Amino acid sequence: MTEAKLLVCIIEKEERLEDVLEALMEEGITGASILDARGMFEYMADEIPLFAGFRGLIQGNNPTNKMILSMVPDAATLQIAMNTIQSVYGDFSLPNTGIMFSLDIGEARGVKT
Amino acid sequence: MKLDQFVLKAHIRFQFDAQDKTDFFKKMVKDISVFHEDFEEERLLELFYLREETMSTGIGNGIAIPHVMYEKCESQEIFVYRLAKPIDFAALDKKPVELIFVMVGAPSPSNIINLQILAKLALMMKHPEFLDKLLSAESEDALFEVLIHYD
Repeated sequence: MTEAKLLVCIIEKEERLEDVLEALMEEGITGASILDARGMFEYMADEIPLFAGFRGLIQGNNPTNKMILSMVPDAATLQIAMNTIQSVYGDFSLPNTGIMFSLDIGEARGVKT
Repeated sequence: MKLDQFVLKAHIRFQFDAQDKTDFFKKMVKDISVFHEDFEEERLLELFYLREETMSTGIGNGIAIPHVMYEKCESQEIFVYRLAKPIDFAALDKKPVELIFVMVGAPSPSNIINLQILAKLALMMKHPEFLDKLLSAESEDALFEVLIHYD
């Protein structure tokens, strides 16, 4: 087990991604992967015809979310990263904002320092 | 999720007569309204039509699952219609529809129960054996028994 943590952050307000990444960069967190993500409900409403009638019930009407995956070296850096994201993006406890969590990393290869 | 809490034997119709999709919806809404004096047929019909405008609920293999969330409905109810003759339903596979599951659900912010019922029905309809038995059932009782057996 390493000290490293994986930060997983899914943001529904795509337009805030740029601000979030700039803020992370400013804090020295320079490594992250950005993935397009779709919520299960959005996917079902858009891709499975039986559930098409529920499309109008989805708030925000945002077809895709953005997922930030960032491996940070330790718990202290993780706290900085999460606090930075929250200060820029806002409160994740509100509906239609997203979710942020972390995972311990057991072993890692290819980490560039 | 078990469906037996939402479908009653009295909700099953065998040899239901419908000339086409529009005729089916009109007759079905009238039929459902018999169970609920406060249901407004025009409003219910409008909701079904609106849903079909989004995309046909004919999911293929002769099955359709029209569904609406209706403000006067207090829970979730499923009605089953085995048609006397298949009708065009603008189904995804373009095949005529002969077995129709209708769901009328109470609206809620998450619609979780409505979604669970639809997901359960959709999954059940992917079982070829279940589908065969449903389509070969020759009475309301037989249809109901197949449905409950595979629930």
